[in-house]
Amino acid sequence: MIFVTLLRKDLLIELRGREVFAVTVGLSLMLAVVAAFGIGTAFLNPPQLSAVFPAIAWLIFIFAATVGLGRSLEAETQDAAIEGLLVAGVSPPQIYSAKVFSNSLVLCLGQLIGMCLLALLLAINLSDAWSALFLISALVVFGYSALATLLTALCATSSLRGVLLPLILLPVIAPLFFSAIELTHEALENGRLALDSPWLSLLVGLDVVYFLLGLNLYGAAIKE
Amino acid sequence: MKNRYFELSTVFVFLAVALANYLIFIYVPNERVMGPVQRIFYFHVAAAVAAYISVAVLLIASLSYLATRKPVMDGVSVAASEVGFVFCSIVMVSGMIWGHAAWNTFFRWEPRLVSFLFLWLIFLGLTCMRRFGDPSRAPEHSAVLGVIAALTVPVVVYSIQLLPQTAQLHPVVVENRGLKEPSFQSTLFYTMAAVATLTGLLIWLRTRIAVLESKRSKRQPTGG
Amino acid sequence: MHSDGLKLDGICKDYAGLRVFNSLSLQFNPGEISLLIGANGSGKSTLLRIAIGLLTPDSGTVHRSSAAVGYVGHLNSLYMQLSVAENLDFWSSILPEAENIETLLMRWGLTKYRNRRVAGLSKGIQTRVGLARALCASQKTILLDEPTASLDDTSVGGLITALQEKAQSGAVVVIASHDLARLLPIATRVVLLRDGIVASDAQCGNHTELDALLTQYQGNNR
Repeated sequence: MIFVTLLRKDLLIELRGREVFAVTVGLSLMLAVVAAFGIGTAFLNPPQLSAVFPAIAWLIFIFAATVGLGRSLEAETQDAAIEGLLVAGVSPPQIYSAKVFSNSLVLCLGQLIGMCLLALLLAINLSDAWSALFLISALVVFGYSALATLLTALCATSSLRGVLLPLILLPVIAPLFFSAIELTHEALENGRLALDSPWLSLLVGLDVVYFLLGLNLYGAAIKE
Repeated sequence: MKNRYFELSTVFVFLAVALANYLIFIYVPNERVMGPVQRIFYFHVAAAVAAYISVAVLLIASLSYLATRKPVMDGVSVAASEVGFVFCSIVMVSGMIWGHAAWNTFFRWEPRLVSFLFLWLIFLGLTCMRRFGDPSRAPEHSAVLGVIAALTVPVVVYSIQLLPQTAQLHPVVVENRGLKEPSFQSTLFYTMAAVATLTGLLIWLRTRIAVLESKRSKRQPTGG
Repeated sequence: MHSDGLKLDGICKDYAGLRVFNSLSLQFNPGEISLLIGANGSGKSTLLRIAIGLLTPDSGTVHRSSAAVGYVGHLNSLYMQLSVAENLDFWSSILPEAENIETLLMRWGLTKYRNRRVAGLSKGIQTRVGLARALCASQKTILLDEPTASLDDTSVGGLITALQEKAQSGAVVVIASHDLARLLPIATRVVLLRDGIVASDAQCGNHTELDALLTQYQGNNR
């Protein structure tokens, strides 16, 4: 299947260069240390730390992932490989889906590592809610990938691509960001995923909407 | 011929807005609690309406451009995003002035203010896309971003309402339901209508400029 | 069913502020090896990109009788971080009826480079890989833009053999090039493009026509 071939190719390229993964994890690590240091000066007690943890963890992820994805289309545009795909009859939705899934896999791994790291530094216990956190991370990162993959294509040929992506991505990622924080907060408090939470419906809805938007608009973003 | 309609519209809108100013500053009495400063409320709410109108126009124009590739629709997108940006800035500034006068605070984290902050950031992102994006692909890329941005607005409003609230800062007296004085109500509605026509006029004007600009740039040879 | 080849009808295109084509029509037939020549800026590359579907004309239609197309433009459409074998493996998985990798590597003299990353190879070898990619399946429409620019004579020989095989099996081959010395011998037709219009169109079998066309071309290039 073409999707599988494309996905394998994207993962292989990422494995070779490890750009997205390295930048995401590296930045997450640095930001986690800085954040932990900064929070440490506030002398918060454990409940307060737990309250503040989700926001900081997801903020770090969004920032690190946005920087990490900044040059992710370089492999396709460097030698006009994406043109070759279009000429060979591969449709933009196929290219898009493969990229979303490959980015999701890489970023999800990066996000989990970053989150665990931050929890370690702030002495927060994640083990009670790990399955809920894993699921939340998967859903949020998928939605983020769906939107970011599309927007990266919009920036790919700009002269300021690394800087432009955060400027256009961060305002529109807000609802996803809120869902991530609220769900993580609820998971840490209750130890499980709140299935009736409006935030979960919002998150799933956003994942679907962003993916559908991407499938339909990716062609306009990459074609000449 | 188009000029004639435009000139007539300009005169009409000018008179309508002049009348609105008269109503705001002369006709309507001082508000009991806040005094004259309260009059900024009319501009604030009307500008908010204008911003929402711009978002709607942006969505329609962006979708239209993607479907038909008509250059005039790209012009409307440019116009809607710029006019929306200006009115959104007016909402923020007038809101801050009013906030400081009424509650001695420039900004508070509550639904409406935060929604408009994100709207402003979205418009900023659109402006950055136009300014720093790839110039040869600008219409398509901006249309894609326009669709995403416009669809994000209701989602942001919805998700911010889900957030746990501190105090509702918009006082009840300024909700439409709470406006007891009929002259306040009629002034508000009239101002909203007048500013709506001003929004339409400004979008029309900016579209004409955008179309002329693109015609002029087409005529200048750039080399083969 | 005899396929129609490649047909461009009434193509109009404004590109980067210039009117490039004004109702241009051309038909390329199966089995032909057509050489598209013209001065820089005459629209050769743009025409190929429109013919292959990467650029949409403002008006006019493009008809390709087959969906299996091969194109090498100014860039080779390769993944620089992957090896030659990985690239060809990927591209042959995408395309139906693709040739076996080993045969492909051997035919284009790439066997000793198979595990080298494309990024580390010379431009000439990269072009060979790009051509191997574009010609690896049963493509019926082949458009090449200056393919011989970085190739040595041996590689050009390999390219010529491949193109002749394709043409014999009924493919449409169009090559935009300045390299008359090496490509004219295999061309069956030459089309001269000037300022976006077909200035001249000659069959290589007709020597008078061809000479007139070449004089016109070389006259303008003085």
